[in-house]
Amino acid sequence: MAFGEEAFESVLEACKAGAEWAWAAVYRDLAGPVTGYLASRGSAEPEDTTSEVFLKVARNVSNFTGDESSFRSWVFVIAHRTLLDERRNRGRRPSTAEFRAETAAEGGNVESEAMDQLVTDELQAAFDQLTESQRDVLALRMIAGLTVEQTAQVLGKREGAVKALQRRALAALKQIIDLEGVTL
Amino acid sequence: MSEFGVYEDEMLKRFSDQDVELLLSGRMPESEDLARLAPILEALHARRSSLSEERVSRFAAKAAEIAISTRQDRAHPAAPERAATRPRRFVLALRQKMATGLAAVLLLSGMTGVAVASDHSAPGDALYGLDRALEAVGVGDGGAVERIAEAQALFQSGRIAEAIAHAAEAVPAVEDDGLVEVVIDDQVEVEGELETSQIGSSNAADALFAAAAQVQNGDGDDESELVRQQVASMLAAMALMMQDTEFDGEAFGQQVAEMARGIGGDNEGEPENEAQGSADDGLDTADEATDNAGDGLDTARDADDEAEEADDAADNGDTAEGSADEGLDTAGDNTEEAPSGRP
Repeated sequence: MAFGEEAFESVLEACKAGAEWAWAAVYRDLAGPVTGYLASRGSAEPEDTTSEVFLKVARNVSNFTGDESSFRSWVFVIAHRTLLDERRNRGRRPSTAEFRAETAAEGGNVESEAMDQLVTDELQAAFDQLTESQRDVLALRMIAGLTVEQTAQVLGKREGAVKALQRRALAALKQIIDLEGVTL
Repeated sequence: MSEFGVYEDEMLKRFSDQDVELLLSGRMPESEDLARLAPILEALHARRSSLSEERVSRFAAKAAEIAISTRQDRAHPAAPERAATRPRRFVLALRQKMATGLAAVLLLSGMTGVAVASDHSAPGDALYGLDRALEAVGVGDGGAVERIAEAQALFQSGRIAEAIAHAAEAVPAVEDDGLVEVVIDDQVEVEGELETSQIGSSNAADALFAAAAQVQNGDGDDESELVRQQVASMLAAMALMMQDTEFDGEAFGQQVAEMARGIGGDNEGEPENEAQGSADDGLDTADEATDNAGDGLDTARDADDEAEEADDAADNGDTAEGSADEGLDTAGDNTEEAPSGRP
């Protein structure tokens, strides 16, 4: 995270006191990873869900105590649970189509978009073959930028289980690349 | 085992935790096999979205407004409309428990100043017993929310078993007409129908007391750390559920029961010090895990995953015992405020 411990304490206190600058700093730091995590895990409207997550953070921040690392974990615990709620409300599992549609909707250069889409399709094809838990772990490690310890906190698993899941996920990805001819 | 399974296991043996960590931290691993995965992980990393400053400003203004509003609510709580007219069911139960010592305590206290001082006492404080006695007759009663806050205070001071047992008192004791009242935000009450939830609630309390007993008898640092994380998650989830404007007593009871039952159990079937040996050694145990893994899990893929984790666990001779994180996951049902509650 970008703050450093002393600065974080000030930012947290300012957030609790209702300072806009502090909330802007927190949002700049975490909203991108949160949106990316939600999108990769099948949120139909990742930006809307991100807003929902951060409004929950704002409503509950007065009850939060802890350091910067704990805060990051806490935000992603809320994001993860909000995502689970969204899935339950939709009554179905995350779908590949949603991930691709969300990606296609982003603006930018047409050529680079096409390249990005190719990579995204290949990535998604490989990602789809992992188990739910493996996808959770890889998304939290690579998109959310969480450590093993933080990922374990978010998913309610032991650190050893997270390490095993990420090894399994990478072994599965390697297999997909080598045996199924997926290229990246 | 299929060709794919054999290949994956072969890869697994080549990937050390240290090398995996290098790759996931954005550095180049020693293993060429792992290094080939760098582009796919880079593409995953690039899924982080960029933000417009306009969006940041819009959120910051809204969040600041909410934070100020929350502070003001805390500083000037509104009087609960129903507090004076209808006693809470679980407070009734508490009254019965404490009836014996109550008269003596009231005789000894006699002063409102004492009541005020004791209202802020926590378990272990000299005034705490008085605080509870006064609550039993409706003075300074913080209800379930206060019980959870006290449980969290106990947890922070390292008294984990006591914290769990204390949390059990926040579970509404539904004994007569199937209604439960729960204090939310220290000031507002909601009332929910509890038809089948009477069972759920008492199950939750039973499960919490059982978990407290198990923790009391637990041993081993590794286990303690797991329990600590599980209890922290459970208390946080209970507190959040109580803040939910659409509080569902039935779901609360069921979820608390599930979380409590998960405390102290090695549900992952995964040791902290994961062995690097052959995964095939643990196939029998993995099969056992697969048999047990269906408990509450959403999909067969998750059940497979349990078996995968158990596969590694078996290397150390551990036995996988079924479902993994359903406690925490299901706790998400009612953990937050309804999105429509505020803009």
